[in-house]
Amino acid sequence: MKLEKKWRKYSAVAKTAAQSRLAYWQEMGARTFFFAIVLFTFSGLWGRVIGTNGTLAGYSRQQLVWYLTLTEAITLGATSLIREIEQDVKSGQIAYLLAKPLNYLLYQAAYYFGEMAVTTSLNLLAGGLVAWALIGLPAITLPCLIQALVLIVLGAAVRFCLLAAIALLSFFVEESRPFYWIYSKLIFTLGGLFIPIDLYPEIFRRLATLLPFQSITYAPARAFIGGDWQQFVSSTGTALLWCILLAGLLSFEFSRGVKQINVNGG
Amino acid sequence: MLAIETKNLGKEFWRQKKTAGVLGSVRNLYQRDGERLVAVKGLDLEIASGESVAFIGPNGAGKSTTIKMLTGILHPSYGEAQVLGFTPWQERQRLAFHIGTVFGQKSQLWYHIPPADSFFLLGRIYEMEQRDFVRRQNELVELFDLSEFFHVPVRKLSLGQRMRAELAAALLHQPQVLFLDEPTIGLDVVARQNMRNLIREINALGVTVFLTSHDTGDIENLCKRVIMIDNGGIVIDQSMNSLKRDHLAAKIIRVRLEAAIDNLPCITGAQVLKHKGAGLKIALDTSKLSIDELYMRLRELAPIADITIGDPPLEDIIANIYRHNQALEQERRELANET
Repeated sequence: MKLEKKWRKYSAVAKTAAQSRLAYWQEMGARTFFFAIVLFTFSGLWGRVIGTNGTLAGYSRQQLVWYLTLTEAITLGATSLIREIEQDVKSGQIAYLLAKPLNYLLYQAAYYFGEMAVTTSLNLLAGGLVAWALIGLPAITLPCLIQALVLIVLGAAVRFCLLAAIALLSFFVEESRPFYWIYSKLIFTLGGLFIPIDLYPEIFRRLATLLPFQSITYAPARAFIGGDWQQFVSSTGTALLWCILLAGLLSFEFSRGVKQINVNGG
Repeated sequence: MLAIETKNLGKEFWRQKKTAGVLGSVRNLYQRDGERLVAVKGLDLEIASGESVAFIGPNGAGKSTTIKMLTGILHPSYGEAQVLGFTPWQERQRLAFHIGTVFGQKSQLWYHIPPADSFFLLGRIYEMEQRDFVRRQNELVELFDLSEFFHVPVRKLSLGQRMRAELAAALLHQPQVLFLDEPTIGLDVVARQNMRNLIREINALGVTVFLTSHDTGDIENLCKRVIMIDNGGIVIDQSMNSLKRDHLAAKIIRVRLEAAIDNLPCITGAQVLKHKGAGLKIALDTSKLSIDELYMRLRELAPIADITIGDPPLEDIIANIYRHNQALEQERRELANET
C-alpha cells in the first residue's frame, strides 16, 4: 500500500513533466528540423564514403544512418534537468522542495523520465520518418527492437545520474556548465554519437567500452541496427553497473550538498 | 495544545570572505577566510494551536532561517524545537504532511500547466485518497473562487490569481500549521485584501498561521500576536493590542476649532504637524502630556467643533523599535570594544 502510494506519487510527477514538456512544442519543432538536416548531411556523407552498397567495418550505409537516427534522437531528447537543478540550488528553491514529502532525487528522476519519454519518442518518430524517406527501412527484428528499448531506458538512467551529478556541482562551484560542456563532448566521442565505437582504433574502443557514455548512445543504437544477445547482456551489465556506481556517487554528492545549506545558509 | 515550541534554538553559519583584487582571488584558491555568522540565537517560542502570529524583523534578522528550521530544512546548531509534536529536522517528511507553506516570491505551482494539474500532482505528493482529494479540491475551488482560471496554465495568470491558487494549493492536504512568507508581496490593493480575508477565514477554521511579512497591513489585519526578532533574538513578543499600547507614546490628534487661530502657543509634549485656519494636526507625546490636558489647553483657544484621536501607523511603531534596537546594539558593540 505504502509502495503503491509512492509509485503513484512519482508517476504523477513524471506525467506532469511530460505534460509540461509538450508546452515547448516550438522548441521541439526547431530541434526536429535540426535533426532532419543532420540526417540528410550524414546520409550524403556515408554515401560518398562507402557508396550505396558498400560497407564500413561490416556496417552498411543504411545501418549507419539508422544508428545515427537513434543516437541523435536520444541526445536531442535532452531535458531541462541541468537547468532545473541548477536553478533550484542557486535560487534556494531546493530548500522549499525539501519541505515537501518527497525524495528530491527521486522527484528529479521522475521528472526527467517524464520529459525524456516525450522528447525521445517524438525525436524517434520524426527522425525515423526522415531516415525512412532518405534511406528506407532497415531489417529490424523484434528482439533487436526489445533490446534497443531496454538499453534506451538503462542509458537514460545512466544519463540521469551523470547529468544530476553535474548539476549538483552547483552546491560547490559557481558554474556547473563547463562540466556539462565536457560531458557533451565525451558523448560525441566516447559515446559514439556519430559513428559506432567499433570503428575506433582498438585502444579507444576498449576505453569507450569501459566508460558510461557508450551506454547512453552507442549501446541502444547498436542493438537496434543488429545486436546479438551476448552483446545485449554485456551492455546491460555495464549499464547496470554504472547506474549503481553513479547513483551512489549522486546520493553522496546530494547529502554533502544539503549539508552545505546547513553550513553556509539557504 | 502547542503547535510550535522551541527552546534555546540557535543557528550559526560559516560565511566565506573573498579578498579583493586578482591577487586576492588567487590567494582564496588555497586559503579560505571566513567568519562565523549568528543567524538565530537562543530562540524560545510557544505558539498555541489556532493562533495567528506575525514573526517579523528587519532584513537579516533570522526570520527565514527560523522558518527553515521549523519546517525541517535546516538543522539547528543547538537547541530544541517541536512542531505539532515532531522534531522538524529529524522527521521532516512526516511533518511535511501536516504543514503548508506559501512563499510569496517562490511558486509551488508548476509554471506550464494549469492549477488543476498542479493540484492533482500535489494530491499525489501528499498521498491523498482520490475521494478525499476531489472533495477537498472542490471545497478550495469554491472558497478561493478559482473556477474561472482553474484550467488556465499558471504562466497566463495574473499575480493575484496565482497567489490565490498558491494559497489554496498549500491547504490541499489540510495542514494544521501554515507558514506564510510575504504572501501578499506584489499584489494590488484589492488582491491583497482578498488574500487577507482568505487567510483570516483559514485561521478561523483552526489552522495556526505563522506569518512573516514586511507589510504592516498584513501584520495588523491578520495577526493577534507579534513576535519581533532582531540580530537572531526575540525583541518583542506580545499581543497586537499591547504592542500598540506600549509603544504608542504618541497619538495623532486632528482638531477642528470653531474659529480660526493665528498662532498656537508652545505646549510641551504636543508637536504641531499641520495648521491651517481652524484645523490642526498634532502629534502628542502622552508620556509628557495627557489627552485630557491637551483637550483643556485647546479649549482655552476656541471651542472645539470636532476632534479625532488616532494611533500612528504600525509601520512607524515597528520602524521605531528597529531603530531603538539598532542603537542599543551599536552601544553594546562600542562598550565591548572599549573593554
